[in-house]
Amino acid sequence: MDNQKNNFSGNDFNSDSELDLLFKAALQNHAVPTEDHVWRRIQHGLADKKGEAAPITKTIAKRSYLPIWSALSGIAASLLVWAVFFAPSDSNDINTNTIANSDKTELTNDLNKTENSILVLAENSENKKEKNQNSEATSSNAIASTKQQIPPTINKINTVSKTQKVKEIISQNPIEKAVASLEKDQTKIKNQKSQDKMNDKTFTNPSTHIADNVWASDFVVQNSDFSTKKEKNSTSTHQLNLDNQTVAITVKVGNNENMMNTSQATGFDTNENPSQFDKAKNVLKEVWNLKTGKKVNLQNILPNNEKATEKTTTNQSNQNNEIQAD
Amino acid sequence: MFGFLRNKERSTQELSESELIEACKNGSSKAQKQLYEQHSGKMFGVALRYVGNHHEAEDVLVTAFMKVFEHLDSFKGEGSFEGWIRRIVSNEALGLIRKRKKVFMEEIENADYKGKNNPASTALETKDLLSLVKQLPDGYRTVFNMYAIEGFSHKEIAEKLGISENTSKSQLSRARALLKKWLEQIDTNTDDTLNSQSVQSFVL
Repeated sequence: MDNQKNNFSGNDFNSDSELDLLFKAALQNHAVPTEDHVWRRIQHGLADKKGEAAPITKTIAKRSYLPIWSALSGIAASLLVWAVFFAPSDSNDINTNTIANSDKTELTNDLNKTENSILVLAENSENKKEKNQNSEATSSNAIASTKQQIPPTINKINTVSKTQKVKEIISQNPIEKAVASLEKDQTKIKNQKSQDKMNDKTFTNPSTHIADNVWASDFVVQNSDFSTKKEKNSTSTHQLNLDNQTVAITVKVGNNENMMNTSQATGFDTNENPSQFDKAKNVLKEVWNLKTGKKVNLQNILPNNEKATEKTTTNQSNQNNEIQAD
Repeated sequence: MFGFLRNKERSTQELSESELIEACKNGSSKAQKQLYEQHSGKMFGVALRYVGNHHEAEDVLVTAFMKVFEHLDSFKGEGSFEGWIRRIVSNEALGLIRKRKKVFMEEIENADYKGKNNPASTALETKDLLSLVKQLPDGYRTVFNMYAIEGFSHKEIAEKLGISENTSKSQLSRARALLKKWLEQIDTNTDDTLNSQSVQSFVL
């Protein structure tokens, strides 16, 4: 920077031009040093406008080879990966054992969960069956027998599957096989649930079943699926007055004498009055409702406002009409 | 090998201005830096005279040199390269002054500027004169810079600043009067005070 002395006096400037000359001479070529960051700002500004990264990229671009530490680090990384994933069998055993133990605990937890869920399902089915037992006195024994049959089978399946799982887990260390066995058990449990549902369907209302399958020309209907679960005999007879005719309806639950799983419904002769059979079917439905404790409205069934009487006596064989449902 | 490097250094140092310009056109960062180092001091002085602020003068310098390197192709070699850069720097400085949106041109009657400090030495250095110019109001300083130092005519100043010629003249005369007043104060204070005091103390 030029710091030359400019000796003057305020009275020396008689004309404006002299003042201008003084300042022009002093300042026109006066240089002020700049700091380094100004040039860096210019560089960065130019690089930004060109879309390049400033000198750093240039230094990288000049380098035609990778540094040696990159190769060393790559080798070290590959060795580390090899040591972790492809280690010798001794260390692998420890790892697999620990993994297997942890998986055992997880699988046992899962098994407990599934067991609990199955037990809940069994309890639900038991509750349903208890309801049926309370409502239907005649089918209570049969339901009780099914209760004795079904839950043990489920428990057996559970215990068998559980032991199988544990054995598989202990014998087969790989996790995938254990998971596959668990999935198989789950499918078994699902199949068992679906079978239970199918068995529950067999305990549908017999009156609706008969009503769907009985036709007017033949009063005797046999259905092999209907009474598969009913073992103990129970009979209830209801006497009704239908169009000035006494109709006795006997509902029997259980196997017949020939040990055939049949369901049978008999009615009076419909050749004389075919409409009687339809009424009888409706009556049978209402009888079911009567037995299950549901609301019964016989007035709708019997338009003549005939009074329905119920008797719990058995063996009304003297009556002409009889409907049996095994 | 070292001889090659020495020859390379010598070659970059011995490049003429036109060769430097050509190298800058080809994207040589070394040539750009060399060109910057040749002109940055003077151009920073120009920016300081116009702007009156160190940081803003740096901003002007950065923007101006970026434009210089970007539009180097537009320099046809007519006139000096320094004059071309100076014009770019002064235009940038004027643009910055316009952006300030201050009352750019004050009326002579209202411009009653008083010097903040009392000069203490008759032997003023160039940087002290620069400090006096920096203390002028924007309008005074700009017109004084353009007319007295850069050599623009009042017509050119009026066109560049978007003012009338009379306004330019009035701004110039007011700036002169103010500078005279300060210089007279320096002269009178010199009789009363010791010369040992630095001008820097009142200027800064």
